[in-house]
Amino acid sequence: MARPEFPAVMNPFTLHREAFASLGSRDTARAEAGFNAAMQAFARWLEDPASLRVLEVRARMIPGQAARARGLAESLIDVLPEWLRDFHFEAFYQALTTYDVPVARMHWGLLDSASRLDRFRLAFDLATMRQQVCHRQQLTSDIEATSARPRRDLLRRGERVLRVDPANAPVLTIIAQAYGALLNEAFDAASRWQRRRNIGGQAPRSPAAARRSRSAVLQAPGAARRLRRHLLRPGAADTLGRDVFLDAHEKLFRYYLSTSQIDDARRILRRVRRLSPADDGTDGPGSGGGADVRQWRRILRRAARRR
Amino acid sequence: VSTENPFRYMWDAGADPYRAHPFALLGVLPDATQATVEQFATAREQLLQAGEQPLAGLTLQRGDCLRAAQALQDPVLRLAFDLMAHWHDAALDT
Repeated sequence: MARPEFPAVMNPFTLHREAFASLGSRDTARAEAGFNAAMQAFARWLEDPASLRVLEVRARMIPGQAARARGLAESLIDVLPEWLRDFHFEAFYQALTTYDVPVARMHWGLLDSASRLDRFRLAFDLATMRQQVCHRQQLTSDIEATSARPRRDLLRRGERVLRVDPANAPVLTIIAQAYGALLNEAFDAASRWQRRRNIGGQAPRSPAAARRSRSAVLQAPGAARRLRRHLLRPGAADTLGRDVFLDAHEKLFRYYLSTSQIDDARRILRRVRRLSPADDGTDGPGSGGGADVRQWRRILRRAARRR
Repeated sequence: VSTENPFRYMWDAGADPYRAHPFALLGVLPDATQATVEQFATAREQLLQAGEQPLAGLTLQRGDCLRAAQALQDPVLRLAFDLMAHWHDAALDT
């Protein structure tokens, strides 16, 4: 039996094959370009009615499957987007867990750009994939219940995800809350130590609680720096949502005040005023409605006078 | 449809799925019957058990060839592997 040949058309599998070869030789830039071209070719190919006919002809070659050839071709067309997504997602995740950031970024970028193609919009749901990353990396929002060491690990894992996908809203939210909680603890611990020094001797705290406070104080400068960097990222307000965004600014503001970094606190206040001018004095902190900028300003003035 | 993903085939073993697809692993043609596929798989598996590697540049483990024969049992998966293995033979016009 003569084997049917494939028609000489723009072939997504050939492009895909070349992209794999580039990835194998660690040429990430070339692999990325190849995968992108292949993805677009796949999207076009899957929408082309001629593809079904090609597949049907080819499926007839499988011994015993001639009668089901059309069904097989349709099944392949249905499942192909999921295979592509699954491959890039798993490759991204594997690279993420092995600290191979360039490769992880490449695969995530491909998932991101494929999600904007009409043919792949349904299969490449970025929100679901981001949730899956959170789940696999055990990034949970139960920050308050997390003790010092697991929280440090959680922050490390979260930072790694954000290096690859800075727009991952669930991870960014968890990270902002974790840094905020850490700054709050550092602030509380510093106040407690100050009070203890002033009144002389309080009931000793449990060793675990003391360890946690000490760890929070030691980590606070780094946490403030990182939190600020995340908040300054373009689009951070949209990614985080207004409440989380303002709450994180408030924690940062209080931290800068408690450590007498008045200029930094002033910058945070200015930024909050710029971001929510309508809230100037209308809402209280923690009310869920926004920042009480007037109150923040009063606190800042007092702190500046004390200095 | 099989849960196996052809693009991840042998991927965890560090192999390129466009090179290490079941047709290459077993050395069978696209129109081979399942009996032929299994016969080739058994022969290659015996080579592996004797400590030989049937393919240059690729280290196979015991069971890889039987797994390849199994993958070709699923017609949709087999169709995908066929495209991955053989379509590049055609010239590109555009």
